Amino acid sequence: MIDVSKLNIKEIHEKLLAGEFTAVDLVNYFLKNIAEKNNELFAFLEVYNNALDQAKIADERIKAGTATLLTGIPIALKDNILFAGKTASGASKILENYKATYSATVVEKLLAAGAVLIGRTNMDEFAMGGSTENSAYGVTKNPIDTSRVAGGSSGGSAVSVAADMCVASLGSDTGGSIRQPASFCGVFGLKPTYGSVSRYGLMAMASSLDVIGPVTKNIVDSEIIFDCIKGKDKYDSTSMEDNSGDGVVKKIGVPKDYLKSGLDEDVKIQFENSLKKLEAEGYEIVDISEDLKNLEHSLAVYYVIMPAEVSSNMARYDGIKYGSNIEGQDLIEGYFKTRGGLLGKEVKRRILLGTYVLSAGYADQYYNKAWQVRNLIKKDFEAAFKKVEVIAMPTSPTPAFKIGEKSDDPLQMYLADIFTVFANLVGVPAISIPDGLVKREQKDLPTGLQLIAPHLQEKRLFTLGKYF
Amino acid sequence: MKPEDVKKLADLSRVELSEQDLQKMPGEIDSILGYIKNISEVANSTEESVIESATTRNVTRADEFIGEFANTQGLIDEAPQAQDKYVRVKKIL
Repeated sequence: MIDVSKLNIKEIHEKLLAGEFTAVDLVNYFLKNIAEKNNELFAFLEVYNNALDQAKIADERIKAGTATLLTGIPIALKDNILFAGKTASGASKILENYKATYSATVVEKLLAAGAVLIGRTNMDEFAMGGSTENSAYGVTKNPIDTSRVAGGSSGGSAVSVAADMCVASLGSDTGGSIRQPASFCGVFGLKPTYGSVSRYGLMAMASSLDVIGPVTKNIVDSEIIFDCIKGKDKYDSTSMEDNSGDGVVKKIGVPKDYLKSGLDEDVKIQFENSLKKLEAEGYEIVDISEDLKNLEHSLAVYYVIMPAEVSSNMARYDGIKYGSNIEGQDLIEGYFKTRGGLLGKEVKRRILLGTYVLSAGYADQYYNKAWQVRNLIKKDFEAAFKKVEVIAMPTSPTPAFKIGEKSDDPLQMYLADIFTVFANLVGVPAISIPDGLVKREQKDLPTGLQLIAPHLQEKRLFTLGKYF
Repeated sequence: MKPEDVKKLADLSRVELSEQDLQKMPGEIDSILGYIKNISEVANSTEESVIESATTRNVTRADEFIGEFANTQGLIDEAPQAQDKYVRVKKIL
């Protein structure tokens, strides 16, 4: 029996070329793991019924000598990414039976490289949440301790990789939705530069913040998948080329003052150990607290801008164009019933909050002010990146919390995003790297080191990621 | 925020809320608004503009026909109610 749990994509690729196993063997290996683990963990909402057919085509391509690094590599998709002909529900009841009418650009790129798309993974409904408890279909469990959350919103994508149910997966990150679950599950999660990966075929949540990125077992795979999916796309006018990275790092900045409160003591110790590791490799650690003086406002800014954009983007779910609907007496009652009955509580909460901050009389007080402060935060980062090449911070202030622990208190749940949202507000790339464990109830829970680089400088993250 | 304020927002958003949600959401929204209220003070202490920033720019392109969408029938099929090549809606007037 093959075991690829410790291999990176390059190593698997070499074994495929050498004929040690076939792409079909590889898919069968993961299908077996899914069959054994998915009932308990609930990472996958669906395993695609043509995964083996895709693998057979990959095997032909390998035989023909036209394989790329990704040919035959099984990859899972977050359930908000469209794959033509397959259900894509956004983990919402309102799209329970929706079948994608076209494929996302990232899907087209993976298919062109010969990757095998193995299934779609669970998430918080329309990517709103930090624990995957907001899925309309059930909670994804953390594979290290099943009484704990997987993180979110890309919880299924993180667990599918952490529990060896696929080689890698795609997630989406609006305020930390790739990095935080990666941190909770002990895998690598990359949020690329805003615009570096096309969002054509991604269900929009907050359009000035959303980006697609990979969840992987190691840094080599992060780079391979990012290189495959990035680039300018004529179907997404916010997309751009991303080839200018230098990969050079000398100084690493840490906003030490910002980490003084709200950070779990054990997570702090692990973070300091990670910094020592980097110092031992010859990197200089610099305190940049003075430069990032508006960082403390980032979560407040995020919770104005994000719901405002959510309330606009969610207007498309009206029960008329696609998805499920609940009939009303007339058109408008149908809207109320469909949206009231088929959208989950957190989605409704954010629609209301967004409607409030955008409404007459309040837009000046909230929305416009939030943009001003967002621009201040952007300037802070520009100043900081004149002194250092990369910034380091923990990904999450705590390890994975218990299922149900925060689900009744939305503000507490939002505070879990405190170290991740600014990268989305500024648009810069950031990665969560598994490093260090903290003990809770006899279980070793993973923690994440977050590294942040300037726009289009993902290569610097890959340079440092190789030490972990 | 009172339940009637939440009801007004729900009406504007075309979302039906249960009685339970109407009772619970005011407190939840208040606690979130409490958390975000200080950005007003931060913004008032700066000359920073609302939208302009060094990293935002407009992207324009020629308004050219790039070909018909390949799967129009698929789009029609996804509508809960359709007839021929049309999406059916209830009468508006």
